[in-house]
Parts: sequence; C-alpha cells; structure tokens
Amino acid sequence: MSVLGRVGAARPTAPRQRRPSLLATRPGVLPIVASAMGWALLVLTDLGVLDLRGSGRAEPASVSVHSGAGHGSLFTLTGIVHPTIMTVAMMAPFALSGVRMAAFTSLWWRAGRAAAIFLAAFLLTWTVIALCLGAVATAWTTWLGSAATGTAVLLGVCALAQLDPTRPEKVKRCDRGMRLRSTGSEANVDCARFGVLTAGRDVRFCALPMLAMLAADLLPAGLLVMAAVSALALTDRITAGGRRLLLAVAYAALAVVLAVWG
Amino acid sequence: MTRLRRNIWNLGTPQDPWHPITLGYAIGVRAMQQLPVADPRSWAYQSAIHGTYLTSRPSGAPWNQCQHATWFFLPWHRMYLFQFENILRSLLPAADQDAWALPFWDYSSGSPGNALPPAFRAGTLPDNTPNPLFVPERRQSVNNGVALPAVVTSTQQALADQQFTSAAQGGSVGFGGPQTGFAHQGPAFGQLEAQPHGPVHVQVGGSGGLMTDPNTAASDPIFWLHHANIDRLWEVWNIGGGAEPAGKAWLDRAFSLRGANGAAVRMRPRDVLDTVTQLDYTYESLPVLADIAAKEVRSVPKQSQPLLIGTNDRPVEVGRLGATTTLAVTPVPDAPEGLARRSATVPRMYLNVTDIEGTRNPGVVFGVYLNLPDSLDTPTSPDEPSSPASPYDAAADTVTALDRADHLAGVISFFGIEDTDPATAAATRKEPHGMRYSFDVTDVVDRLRSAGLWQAGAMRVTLLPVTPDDEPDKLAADMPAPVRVGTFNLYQG
Repeated sequence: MSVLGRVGAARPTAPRQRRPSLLATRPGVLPIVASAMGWALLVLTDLGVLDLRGSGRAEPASVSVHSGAGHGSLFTLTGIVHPTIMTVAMMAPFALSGVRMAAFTSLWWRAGRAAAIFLAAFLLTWTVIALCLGAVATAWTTWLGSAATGTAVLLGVCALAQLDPTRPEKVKRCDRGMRLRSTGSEANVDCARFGVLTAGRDVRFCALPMLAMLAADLLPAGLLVMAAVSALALTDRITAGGRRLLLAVAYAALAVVLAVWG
Repeated sequence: MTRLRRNIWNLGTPQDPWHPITLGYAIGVRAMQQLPVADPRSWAYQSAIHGTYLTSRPSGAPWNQCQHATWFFLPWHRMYLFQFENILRSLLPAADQDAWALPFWDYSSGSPGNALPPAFRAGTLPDNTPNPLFVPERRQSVNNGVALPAVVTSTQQALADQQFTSAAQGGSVGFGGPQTGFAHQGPAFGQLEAQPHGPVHVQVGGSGGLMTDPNTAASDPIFWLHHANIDRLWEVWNIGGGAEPAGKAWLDRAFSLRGANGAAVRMRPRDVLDTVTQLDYTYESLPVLADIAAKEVRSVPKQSQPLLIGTNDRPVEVGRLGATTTLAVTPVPDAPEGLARRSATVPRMYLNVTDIEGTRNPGVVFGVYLNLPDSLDTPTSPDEPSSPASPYDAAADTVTALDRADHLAGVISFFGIEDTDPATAAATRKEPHGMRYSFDVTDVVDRLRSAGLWQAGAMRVTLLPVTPDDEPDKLAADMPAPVRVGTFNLYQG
C-alpha cells in the first residue's frame, strides 16, 4: 500500500470549531480570572456589600475570640459558599501550570475544554479539602480561645516548614504532567483525574497556609492576613522553594504581628 | 596562560597517532586508573561523579551528579571536564603539564574525523604496554574504524536554535535544555544534547557498551573527548550569537565536584561562561568555528506557544528494528495568517516524542521519518542515495519521489533510558520519569507538501535504525526489551 494510503488509515478527528478559542491559546487566563473574581467577592463580603458567610455578619467581627459564626455551618449552602470562594481565590493560581499543561497537551479544538475540566476538578478537590480544614480551623481557634493566637501558631509552623532543605525538590514535584488521552470521554476523564491528582500533590505544601488562612478569616482584619498568606504561599510555589529562608522570615514576622496583636 | 584544546585528528597521523598530547592523555588515564576508588582523583571516582551503579560510595562523594535533559547540561559538563582535565594534568610529568590540554573529537567534520580516533583503537601504546584508551565495550564496527554516519553527528538542528531554553509546551526546548532545578535526568533534551550528543554516545557504545549508558559512559576514555567537542559546539553557538540565560536560577546553581588535589570544589554556571578568562582554555581553529557558526546558526524565530494538532492513539513499542505509528492530524484553520498577524513570526511545526520509558538502551540510533514510503523503509546507510521511490497511487502526477533523508525529522538515541525505570532510578538516586524529544519538522513538512506527500488528516511516523544492525551476535545472546513510546504529538505554532 502506498504511504498516503496507509496514512489515510488514521482515525479522523473533526474539529468542532473553526479557529482556536482564547482558552486554547491562553488557558492561563482561566485560573487568573477565577482567582480575581474570588478575591473581588471576598472584598465585597468584607466590606459588608455581600453576605456570603451565611452568618448575617454585615460588619467585620470585632472580637478576637472566635464566636463560631465565621465559617457558617458546613451543612448549609451558605456555609459552603464562603469557603468555596476562599478556595477559588487562593488556590486557582496554583492550578496555572496544570491548566496550561492540560490545554497544551490536548488537541487544539478541545484545549479550552481540557483546561476548564482540569481547573474544575482541581478546585472541587480543594473545596472539599478546605471544608475539612475549615472545621479544623474552627476547632483549633475555639480550643485556643483566640483566632489571632491560633493563626499565629499556624503561621509559625508555616515558617518552620520552610526550613526543610529538601523543600525545593519536593515543591517541584507538584508540577508533574500526565498523559492525557486525545479524544472522547476518556480525554475528559483524564483531565479531571489530572486535576484531582495535582490538587492532591499540592496538599502537603498548601494545606498549612490554607489552614492559617481559614483561621485568619475569623479575625477583624482577616482579609489582609489571608491575602498576605496567599501571596507567600504563591511565592513559595512560583520560586519552587528557592526563597524559603526569606519566606520563613516573612511567615514568622506575620506570626509575631498576630501574636502581639492577639 | 591560555591552553589550547586541539582536534585529536590533527594530532599525529593514522599510522602514528601518538602525538605527545594524545600520549599524555593515555598516560594520565592510566595513572588515574591506578589510584584507589576512594581517591577523588581516581578514574573510577571521576567516572562515578557522572553516573554509577555502585551502591557503596566513599563518604561525601558527589556521585551520580551528571545533569541531563536540563538547562544545566552544558555548564555542568564544562565544570566536570575542567576539573577532570586539571586532575589528569596534575598526574603527568611536571615538564609536560603546562602544555597539555584535553583534546576534542570533531566527528562532524566528515572523513576521516568521523571515525573513532586511531589512538582509541590501538591495542598497545608505543612501549607495547596495554593501551588504556582502548576499551572492547564499544560497538565493534566503531572500534574497527567505521565512520559514524552524518545523520548521527549532524549539528545543524542544534546550532539553528538561538534560544538557550524555552518553556513553551510542545515546541523546541532550546539549544541548552529545559528550565529545571538539579536534574540528574530531566524532562526533555535540549537540541545539542538530543543531537549529536546522545546519538554519538549510543553509536559508539552499541548494545551494552560503556558509552551507551550514562551510568557507565565516563568509564570510556573517548567520553571526555566527545564532551570536549560538545563544549566546543557551545562555543560555536556563542560565536553565532547565542546567549545564555541571565537569571540567577541558572547562573547561581552550585554543583559539587572534586579538584586537582582531590578537595571538594563548588562551581556555578556563572563561573564557566568565558573559557579564556575564567578557565584558561580555548579551542583550536576559532576562525573556522566562526565560519561554521555563520553557516549553520540561522535565526529561527522566537516561538509562540504552539497548539497540538495531531497525536497517536496508543503507546508504541520500539524494538531494535524500529516501529511505525500514525497520527490523526487536524490542522488549525487559517493559522498561518492568524499567527503571523499576532506574533509577526512564521508558524513552525514540531514533532514531540514523549513519555518514553524502558529498562535498557537497545544500542541503536533511530531516525525519525515522516510519511516514509515502503520502498524506503529499510535500514540502509542514510548517507548513500536511495533508489527512487515508486510513484504513489493518489494523484501520481503531483507526487515527487524523495530520498529517505528528505523524510528525516531527526534522530533518537534513548540515551539515559535506564533512568526511566524506577528500579534503576532508585539505585542511582534519581527520580524516574519519561523522556521527551522535540523536533522542528517545519522544513520536512514543507518538502513533503511540495512533493505531494502531505495530507491534512494524518501523518505517519517511522522509527528506523540509521545503520543496518551490525551487532547480530550480541542481539542473539541478549535481546533488550522494547522501549515504550507513549505519545507522538504534532504541534503547530
């Protein structure tokens, strides 16, 4: 058989669109926009414009001892909304590398879908983790009797974790790729699996900052602390553990400020 | 004093290869081989810095450190060669030390330079003692003086890439390799490492040879001359206008080695950027290098992120005879105009061969051919013109017969495949993961299009040995398991 005849035996794939979508060429836009929207909602909630906590709290809390109302109940819709938005705001940027990998290792006409499925799976996994961590944060700060002290202790542990000399190598392993099947429902399943696996790999590096962030949510200036913790965690990831001493100092400084404040 | 690293083929003659520099190398190698393994200056210790299967090592020995498939590949090997050269020089008679420098093997220079230098094939030294530069664990034909094929030694694709590194998924990873941290075996090969570095290793070593495996390669004395040539090609690339990364992540990564007195030495890429002012050596024939650079270093536009347009269905097993797979291809409509408008660059096409895993290198260098017809589907020497292909059935009047070389996208050597095996990786303290090669196939696709051998819906990829099997005895005795290639991806952008 001629070469063209044999080549023609390949399974044809029909593009569903005429030109590549924005998500196919710039998939990184997706997590960045998601994160920005998350932060915007958190700011509006903090300003009292929105009430996403389900606590009826229109004004920032004015007590340092946790009243138990901050995270709402896990068993109500509003109790889930706020931690979900926090998760999207904090964790979406961590999905950037995986989203790009999912999109650029998928055929161009399904790259946008691949990016979206990956991000959804990643954030859904982290939302479940965050809901669990929220319960831990509530129990922890209640036990200590002070959200500020509880957050400070957690930030101190974050600082200590930065001192692990093997951290850079471990952080780099978070960004592993995965072979994605090219078409059909198998491809969608692979993207979702990739998102869940990536989220799982991030747990040991992001769970502590996330816990500190959830504890900080109970503070009057919680949003500022959350933003600072998110920025430090993201810096850790972007620099692949390469600025760990600087980050340790930053976490420790934040812990001291909160401890003094508390 | 700036020492001159000279072309080994310019030292002595085929009849009498024992020029003082070459003889000095042999004497130095022998002296290192006589030192105990615990001595950091010993042959075994220095070789193990690159890679070893030895599990018991002297305390603090920086073994299994070689950097491969990473942007540290070039600077790490420059540091490594520099320290090795200092050690070997220190073991020579005092009177010879000043003038001696490590020679290089320029296998890309055509005949006779493309054959293993005679001093490495001779059984004895001039005094009739055993020649330490000869090792039997090489491909027999290479030890017999058969030239390496041009397809193995070509530097063209490497020198054409003006970026040192690139983060683009699916496109070229650059001349020097992908951005990583410490990577004993990183994710993807830079252009120079992919060719000629890896293919020369495997073509010289053959099945089971020392040079074929990174964990034994530095035990073959030709390793050091091969890497001196790779180091020289980095200089050629520099002369052609290539520039190294300027960020601290690359410049300041420190590596541990052992110096001339055996003491620990730490070096960073920023310490080895200028061979003359920082390391006191240069290469012979720099004007010639400039000519090569002017000829071969052409500007490939900085790439935008390419899009995946074709892929294969299932993994492919590659035995010693090669393999074939077909990719379903869906080109991006109107992409050339659209991309050109956006980025002012010409869209290029890349073939990525990824998720490569195996336990042992088959000892074969494979050519990667696109849409190769049956009539050219036999492993003959690619240097000899093939018989014209028969006209193909579809639209015979628009199809032009091409030589096999016209279908060639690049070569794959699987050098380092052992480290994709979890058991081997654990033994050598590495993290296992698949290998990746990336080829710029724009010119091949253009040729196929012009000849009427390209169709939009599919592309056939054939892996074929670049030379006929010349180790049938070894094969019969010990057939390595096939290498598994997970994915063939075609990118456009």
